[in-house]
Amino acid sequence: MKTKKTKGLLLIVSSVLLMATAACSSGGGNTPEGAAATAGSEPSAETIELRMTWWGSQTRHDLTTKMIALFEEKYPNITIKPEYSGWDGYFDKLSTQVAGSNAPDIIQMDYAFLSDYAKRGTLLDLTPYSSDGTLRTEEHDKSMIDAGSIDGKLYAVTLGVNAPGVVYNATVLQELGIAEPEESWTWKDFAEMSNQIAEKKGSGYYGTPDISGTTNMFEIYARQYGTGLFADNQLGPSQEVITNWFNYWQELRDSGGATTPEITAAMTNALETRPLSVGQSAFDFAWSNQLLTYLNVQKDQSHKLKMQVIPHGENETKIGEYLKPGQFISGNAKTEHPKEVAMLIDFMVNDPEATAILGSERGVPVNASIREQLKPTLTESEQLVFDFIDLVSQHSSNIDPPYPQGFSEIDKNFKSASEQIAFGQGSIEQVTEQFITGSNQILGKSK
Amino acid sequence: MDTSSAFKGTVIVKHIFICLIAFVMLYPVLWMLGSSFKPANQIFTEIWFWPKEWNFQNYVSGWSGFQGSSFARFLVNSSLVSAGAVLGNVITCSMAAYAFARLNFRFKAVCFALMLMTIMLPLHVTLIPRYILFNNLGWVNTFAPLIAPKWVATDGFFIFLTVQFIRGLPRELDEAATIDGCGSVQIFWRIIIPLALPALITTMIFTFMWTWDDFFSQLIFLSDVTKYTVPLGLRLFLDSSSQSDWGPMFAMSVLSLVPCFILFITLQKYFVEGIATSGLKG
Amino acid sequence: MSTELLAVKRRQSKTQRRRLGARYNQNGVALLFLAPWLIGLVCLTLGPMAASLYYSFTDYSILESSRWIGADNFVTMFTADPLFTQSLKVTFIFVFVSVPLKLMFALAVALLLNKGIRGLGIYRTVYYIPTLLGGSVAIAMLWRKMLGGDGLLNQLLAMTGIHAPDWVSNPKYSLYSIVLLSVWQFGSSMIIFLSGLKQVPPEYYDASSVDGAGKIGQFLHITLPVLSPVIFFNVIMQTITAFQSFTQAFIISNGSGGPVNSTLMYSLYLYKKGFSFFQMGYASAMAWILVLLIGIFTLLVFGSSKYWVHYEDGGK
Repeated sequence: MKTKKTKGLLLIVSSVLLMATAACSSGGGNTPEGAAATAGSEPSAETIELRMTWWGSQTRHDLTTKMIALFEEKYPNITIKPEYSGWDGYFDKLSTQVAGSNAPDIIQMDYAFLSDYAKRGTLLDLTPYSSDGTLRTEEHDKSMIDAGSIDGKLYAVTLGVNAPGVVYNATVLQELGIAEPEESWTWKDFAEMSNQIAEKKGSGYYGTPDISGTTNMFEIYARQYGTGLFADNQLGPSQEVITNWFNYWQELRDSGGATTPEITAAMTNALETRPLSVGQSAFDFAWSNQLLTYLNVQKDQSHKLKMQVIPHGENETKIGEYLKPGQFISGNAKTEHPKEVAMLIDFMVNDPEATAILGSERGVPVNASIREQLKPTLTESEQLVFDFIDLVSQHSSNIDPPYPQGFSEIDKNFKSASEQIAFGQGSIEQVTEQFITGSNQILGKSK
Repeated sequence: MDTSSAFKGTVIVKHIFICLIAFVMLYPVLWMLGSSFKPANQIFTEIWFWPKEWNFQNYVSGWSGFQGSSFARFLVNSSLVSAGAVLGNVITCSMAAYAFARLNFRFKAVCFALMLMTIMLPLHVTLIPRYILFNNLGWVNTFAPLIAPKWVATDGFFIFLTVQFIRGLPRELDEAATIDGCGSVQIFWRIIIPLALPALITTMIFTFMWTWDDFFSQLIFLSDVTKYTVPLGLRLFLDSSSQSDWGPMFAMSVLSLVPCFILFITLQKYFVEGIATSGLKG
Repeated sequence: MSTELLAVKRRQSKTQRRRLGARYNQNGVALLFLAPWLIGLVCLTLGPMAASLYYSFTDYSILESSRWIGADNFVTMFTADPLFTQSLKVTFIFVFVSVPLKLMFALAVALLLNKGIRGLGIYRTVYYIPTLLGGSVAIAMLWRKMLGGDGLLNQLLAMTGIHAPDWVSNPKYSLYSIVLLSVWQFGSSMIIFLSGLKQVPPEYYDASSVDGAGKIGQFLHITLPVLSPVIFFNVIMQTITAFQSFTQAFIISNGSGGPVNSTLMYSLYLYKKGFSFFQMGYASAMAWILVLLIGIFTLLVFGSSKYWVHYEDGGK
């Protein structure tokens, strides 16, 4: 009796397990693509498959897949498998894939993570392909090549040139009788204008969001006083420069020109939620390609938005403004087909048709002649961005070498430090000191 | 007379009280529903949930999806994954729970402690070894890494839950059944499963919801847009580095709540009528 | 404990004694029932667990292979990482405020919704809706709209002349707005309580009504004891979940744990260390410290359970 029962159970259990394994193996059977990509070139098939990953918005997905279709048309033996997503989780997934030796062959890369990936040997050295002409870089801006190179090796090609700047609401300025800023404006001018705007507009409206915690914008201020963010694997700017920066913003908060700590803390990177977009401020600090988004998402669509360079320092030793790669495209160091990877990268940035499709969605093209070719086709707002980049290229200094490993942690600590000051949880001197020792510790460890 | 009107009074007060809490609970959801009909620039500037004008564009453009994969594709994929996960969890977790709750075997305490420990370790640090494991099995970019673990009872939460329920059932039932000549399998199938139904229903609802909602593992294991599930589809609308399509995102969020909602409404009645436990328990 | 229940228990312990004699070894059957779980444990769970334990003694960066560094990670954690201490503090506050609140609220609503009112199904669904939203990205926007500086709550307060702070973005209150979010999503605990309440045999109530026990008496002497295994489960699981709480703080603070690290939950910090800062070794070490913490807590609750948890199976 009992054994019979047990047998019945055995049957149930084993059939359950069978189902489970069947479900799994049938699932596994669905991935010849993935398997083939990692297994590499099968002798019978001549076609090469490359996986390509990027983050972005729907527009970018549409444009990039169109570009891929064109590439596949021109090179029928290569197929590109796109893997795209939004920004959230993109780098989590990428690092997991790298750990599992299953990273895509072609990778959209961010400036902030370039060193982290390149210095750990995960990115393809593109130098051989740029010297043999597979990947043409002669017409690329020199500073953009430098920005994608580490220790003399090219790891990343710029997909779009960006520059930091101040977006301003020209309609509001006009309404208040304030003259629009000029290229030569200084931090002092900026503070005066912000205070004026806040005063004239009344409560609930600010001149500018408080961006004292945005490392990238502080970087420009630091550059105006001679140092990049990092120098000799140490924090670059002196304690005095950092203190001055925090003091400047403290005064601007106190006078009402900049947003209150609470509003600042409530801001996200999503441009739709920025004070400028929701009609709470007349300025914001942004990257040039973001101007297009601001124009699309601002609350009052009749308002005119324009862009000016980051204010100059009083008695600055050099211009802080610089051209920066928006996004990079890189190869996977473990790819089986490095040459084809280089071909696709070349296609993406140098081919007239491909670049015509991609337009300036990732920023202004890095190739000078492509830039010229695009100019007649630009919309009015794209024209604004191109003009701004032109302006910056005349008034800028070279970009610093890519950030060292550990940047993301320092970046986070800088934001915390500024919040600590704004919420009055420590004096500026004290917080700055902590920040400096903490950062140098992080940098010391990662070397 | 007096007492009955007083009684009516308390019932009304009770209703008003419950309704009030219900409104507070619901307002954010109403706001979300309202937002799904608003153009993007109004979503962030208006607090009142009722849209000034009704705009179905968000639903149209959200449904059209990406590169020929309409949002329906994501819904189908999510349904497949969730159904697989629910089935697996209900079967294997209840089996393991029965063993832990009713059977005597060696190393029971050790096994139970191990089971609890698997719940305690944060997911983020086992993710990479799991990825490497599934990648070696060739399972990456399939639904297998999302479903297979449920068929081997890796969700300790539900084992523990069901154990607690089974332990709430009197042993006399098993013993009576044993006297009637039932073995463990029949006791499990004829007595424990029907009586632990609320726990199984709970397992179903939670597994479905949690799988339906799970962004991180689905992001890591699925790469092909045609295999994307609802949470991944929703994030495709958002790109915090540039422009996000909030309107369609809200519209599709609302839409993707519908299956959960239907499932819940269908299953929740088991918490009222339940099963005829009383007769069995006496 | 009421006399009826005592009588039931007495009957049970009698049968239990009878049963003890008849107990036989069930290793074989147990193995069959446990087979899927054992396969999962050996094939899917133990390996990654062991790997993470190993990583915790290395400088694993995810992107390159790891190097053994002994107990360095643990030493750093306890001597030179103020954010580790901060995240512990935040998490402890969160656990000890949100878990009791959530459970009491869930139990109260479950009792209210268990019987005696029309339209139960609708109410139950309505109360469950916030939980249905889960960790959706929409929640982050929503919460700011409700509790932000000029959110709905503050606009209502402004009508009464009160000027309130931004509950989400002020470091003094931000953690509590996440506590509120977690309490608001009490649906899962409520469901578990509701299904637990189904296990209370109506005869128990009938018998006690005959005895003339009041509502409160019934609750204390019948409902609570019968519900205790489920309460026990909820206490343990909610605490474990709260210790590991990640999603809510992540979406509300935009992944930063800010402002001023006021919502830097342990798991959020662990995640940032592992994935954003490429210190997976350190993150793994943190994870095992968390296991230790939760383990101690769970042991304490298990130890206390014999004083307050009543199993119908006679406590075996």
